[in-house]
Amino acid sequence: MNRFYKIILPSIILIGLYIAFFPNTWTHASFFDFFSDKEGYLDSNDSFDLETFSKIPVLRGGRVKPLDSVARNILLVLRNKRTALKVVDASELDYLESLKSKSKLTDKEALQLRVFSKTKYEKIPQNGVEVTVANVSAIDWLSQVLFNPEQADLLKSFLIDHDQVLGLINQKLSTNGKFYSYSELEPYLSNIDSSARKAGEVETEKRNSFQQNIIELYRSLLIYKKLKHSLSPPTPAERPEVIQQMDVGDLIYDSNKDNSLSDEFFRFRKLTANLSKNPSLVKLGSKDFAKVVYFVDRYNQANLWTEFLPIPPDLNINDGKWKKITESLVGTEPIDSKEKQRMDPAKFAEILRELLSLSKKDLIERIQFIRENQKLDPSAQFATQYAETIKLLEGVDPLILKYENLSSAFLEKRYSDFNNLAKSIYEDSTHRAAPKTSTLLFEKTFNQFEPFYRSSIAYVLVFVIVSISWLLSPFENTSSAKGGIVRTLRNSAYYLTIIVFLCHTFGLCARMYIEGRPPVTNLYSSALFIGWGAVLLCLATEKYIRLGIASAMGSLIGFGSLIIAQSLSMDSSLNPTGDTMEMMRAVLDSNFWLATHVVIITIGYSTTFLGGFLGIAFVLYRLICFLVSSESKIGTKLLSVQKDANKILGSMIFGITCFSLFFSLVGTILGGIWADQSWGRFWGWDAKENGALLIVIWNAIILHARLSGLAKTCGLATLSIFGNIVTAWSWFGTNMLGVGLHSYGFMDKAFNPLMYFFASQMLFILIGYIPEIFNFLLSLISSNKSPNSSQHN
Amino acid sequence: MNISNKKTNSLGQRRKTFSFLLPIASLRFTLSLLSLSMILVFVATLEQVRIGIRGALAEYFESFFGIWHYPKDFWGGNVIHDIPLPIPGGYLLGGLLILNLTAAYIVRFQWSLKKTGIQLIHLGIILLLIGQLVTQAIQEESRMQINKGEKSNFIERFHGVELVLRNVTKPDVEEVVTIPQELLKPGQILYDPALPFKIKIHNFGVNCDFDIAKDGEPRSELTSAITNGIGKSVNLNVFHKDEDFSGDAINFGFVIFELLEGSQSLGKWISISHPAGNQVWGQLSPSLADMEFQSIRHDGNLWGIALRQKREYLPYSIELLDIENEFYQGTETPFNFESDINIHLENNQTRRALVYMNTPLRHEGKTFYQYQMNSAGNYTVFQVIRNPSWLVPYIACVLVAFGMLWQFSFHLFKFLKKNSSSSLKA
Repeated sequence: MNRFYKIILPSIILIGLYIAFFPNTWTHASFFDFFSDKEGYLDSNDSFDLETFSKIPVLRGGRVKPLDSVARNILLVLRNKRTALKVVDASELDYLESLKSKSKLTDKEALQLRVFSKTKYEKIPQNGVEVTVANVSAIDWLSQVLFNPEQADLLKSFLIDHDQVLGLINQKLSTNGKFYSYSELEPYLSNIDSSARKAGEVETEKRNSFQQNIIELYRSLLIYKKLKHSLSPPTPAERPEVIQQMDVGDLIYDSNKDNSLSDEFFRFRKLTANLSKNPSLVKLGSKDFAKVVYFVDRYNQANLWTEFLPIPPDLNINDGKWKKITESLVGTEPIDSKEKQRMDPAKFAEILRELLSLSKKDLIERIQFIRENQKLDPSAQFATQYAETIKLLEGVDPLILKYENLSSAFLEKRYSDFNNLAKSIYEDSTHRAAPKTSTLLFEKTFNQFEPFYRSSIAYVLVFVIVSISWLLSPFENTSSAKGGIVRTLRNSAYYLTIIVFLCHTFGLCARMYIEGRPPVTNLYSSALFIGWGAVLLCLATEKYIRLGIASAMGSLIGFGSLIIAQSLSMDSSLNPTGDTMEMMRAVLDSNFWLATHVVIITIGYSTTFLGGFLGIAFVLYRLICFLVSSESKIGTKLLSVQKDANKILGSMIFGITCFSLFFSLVGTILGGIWADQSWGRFWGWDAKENGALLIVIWNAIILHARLSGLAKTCGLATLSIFGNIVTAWSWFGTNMLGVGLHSYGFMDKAFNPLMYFFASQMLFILIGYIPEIFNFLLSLISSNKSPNSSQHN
Repeated sequence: MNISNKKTNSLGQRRKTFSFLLPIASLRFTLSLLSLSMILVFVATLEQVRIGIRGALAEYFESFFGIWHYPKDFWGGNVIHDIPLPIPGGYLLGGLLILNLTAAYIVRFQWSLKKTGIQLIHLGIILLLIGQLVTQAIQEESRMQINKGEKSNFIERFHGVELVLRNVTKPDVEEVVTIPQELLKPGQILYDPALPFKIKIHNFGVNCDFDIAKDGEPRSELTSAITNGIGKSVNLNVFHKDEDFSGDAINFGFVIFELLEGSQSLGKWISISHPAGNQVWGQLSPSLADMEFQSIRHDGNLWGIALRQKREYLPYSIELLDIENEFYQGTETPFNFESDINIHLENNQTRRALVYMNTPLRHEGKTFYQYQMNSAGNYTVFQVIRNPSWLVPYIACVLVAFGMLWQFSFHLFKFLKKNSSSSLKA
């Protein structure tokens, strides 16, 4: 037996490493991939090098990130998953299945089989019958959306699980499931549009679940449509009379004549070059000028239809500004385009002529001056855009051509062309966007490594191991002896926790490295951090008190907080871009205070939760001790150690409450100092401030109640459980009020889960007093039986 | 041993001398006060949704008790809503906590080295409480709006108005009489030696609803009797409205008054103050532009009357040179609001300053922080806070920090020592 025990520890550690760091089946990258040859390109003639493609940097949500992140984040918004689904024909599946048994494979078949064995399949209902769908990776999905939209429209990219919204598109959850493709939604676009518009008229706080869901679907569709056009601007069909009137028939894109849209761009550039040479042509009634005006308007429209900015800063201008495709041609409108109605055309032309007569250097300064000082003069404002378009923005950015070629190589399945172009775009873009691209490769690998997913699985394992150790402990005579099964399991749980903790820590540090920020910047990261802090404290506790309790509670909080983080990242009202590393609002943009106040207050949350969970462990243990009869063998054993266990648990809760009070008080005071530094007042009774204050007061109450002896161990435990409610209120509840300076994440979807949590905690408090309630009832019954004696008493 | 005996003796001595403090110093009393504070803070946070942060301040934190009605839309609200629940207010609980802590200091705490940490922490907490009580009582919040390229030398309160009468007859000297809100009570007749007439207040409200009635339609009751000024030339309807305490409160104070010369009436006027400054009236509607200055000719003098947000004039002025409002590229998330200003001091010196997020301007006891900005309208708004007791929390923080370090390191060492010795035994 003993030999068997000896292999438990190493094997659990190995399993832990496998889950946390090694290559495994749940994730697409392992810890080693961070150190592997990063600049490797796939020089293949039979498949697309989507790896390289996924590294290409673009700007979305104010942050430079690889296309891989864009794809994952958008899919997270559309489908709440980081993959899309593709319906697979039964015949195709049979064919692929047959390859397995085939002895000799051609190169193509071997490749198909390789892809087949890597792909995950699942079954979903479609028209009442189950069909097989293949998981499409995010980058695969993105490449199809960008380059082959007709195919992409068939992929199931949208999650709709609200029955009324499904009713609107004439579908049923039971027959067709909850995943839909764009082509399935297309016939109902006008319905969705009008319903969403109506829902939008209702105030955010007052929307019902249908209204919220329809607005979410509308936003998802908008993101999808914009994404499609991000690399290929829309080319709306122009009415013939307009074409004739403006005489632009042979200028605008014609799919029969032109190879690509850039042909139109070059013709536009010729027009602007002509005006740049002859500023006198700029006048009302001039045909050349009218054509330029026509195209600028057309491209301004196209500017609205893009989800990310693909063109990196121009090294010659060096202003660090990323551009949309059409923006690289005409810039952006300096003020709202509605202001055009207030424009005086004659004055506009005059200002533009004057601007064009300046030298380039003077023009740049003059444009700057007008934009800052003549904000109320639309004629001058719009003239600056035209001057910029005509004189400053020259040529067509070479990246536009490369992206077009990439697109056609993809459509025509010219693999090596695609791969070379992807490589070249990647190199050009990173070069032009340096140094902001230094974390690109790391971020891409980080995306695939999924440290928090790995951690959450391992936390479950820790909990399971500890639970087994508890189940076995009554049967073992020497539970504390070295080499016993119970001790071994608890040790393995401890070491496993260390391994998961390292993985969790790595994930936090990786986010800090990518963002260049302290660990907590938004609700999502606060969830990650709360779990992390609790686990750290549990490790410290478990080091000294090897009962498994700290490991179990730590893994529970760790897992719970990661699940909360996961659902927060899917909340589209909180995280509309799907990127959990969003940019900070101006007032929060202070690394010093984020690193001190926010981090410390978050540690305060996590220690208070830990105290509360230990309280739960205490009341459950107490209940079990109460329930088991003292006559059974297990019962005697349990009861014999109850006193010791109570004492240990009590001192653990007490110690952790001290930590909680310390961190929450220090964090709250630091918050006051931050407020005084930036607003000139130390305390403003803002909702989030009050929430933090509640935690401080509550921890003070717990400590004083215990110190004064008013609360014994059980009281301490139940008070700590109520601390969970106070902390959850401060963490989420205050954000739901939608008032105050800190309401950075309004979310009402969390309302019900929060109420369930509160109810469950109240239940635990009740459980804590079951023995007392039971004894009280018992005494009532016995006093009823002998009414005489009770009267005497 | 001797020393500790002495300490307990000193505590015993104190207990005897101040025995009347024992009930106030009890820990049960502390716990009750803390529990009541939990209720106060929680209720006042909830109430911010209904009455805004300033309303909650006035009702709960800056009072001895507040009356709370359980919200109607909560579970069981229909039944419980009508029961008025008294909630102990900030002044009451804060004051009692200070008493309780101070008393505990005298009759409960051991004045020994071992307990120094605890004492420091509690001293810090007392200071925090006192500091907050003082702040709550004397802190003033105002706003200052400056257009680009212009100067301003006054700040306006968020709440509170004043009636101002200016004699602008002489081109270079202006006589100004301001009447504070406290005096604007209906029925009141106001005299001032600088004024050639008396002012009789007919009606006053801190907030109102108003619109312009169509021609021929009857006016609202409040405005029907007005005989002069804008109230006559424009068909104004005015209705009383409760004060709005929310964060972005918009309160249009109004006053209806009559000017009297002896017992003879000169007419009835109405004046409404615009919360963003009376200069905004002109942008709102040209016919209301005169709200900023309703002119009255009297005895060859030209007087202008207006109701405006309560002002405080500063001995210096601030000139707005430039504003900057930047967003993260491709998003609507702002990453910088910045005002570039010149401060013109009394001694004709000028100081340049930048005011942006997390970096307010501190000048002569006032803090100016970037509050709002309108880059199209080219103006900036600072929130101005005067808080003379700003240093108190800092001192308190240092005390608390030292106390905590002392106490917790003491406990930690004890814990580690105990465990290492117990593991040695095992």
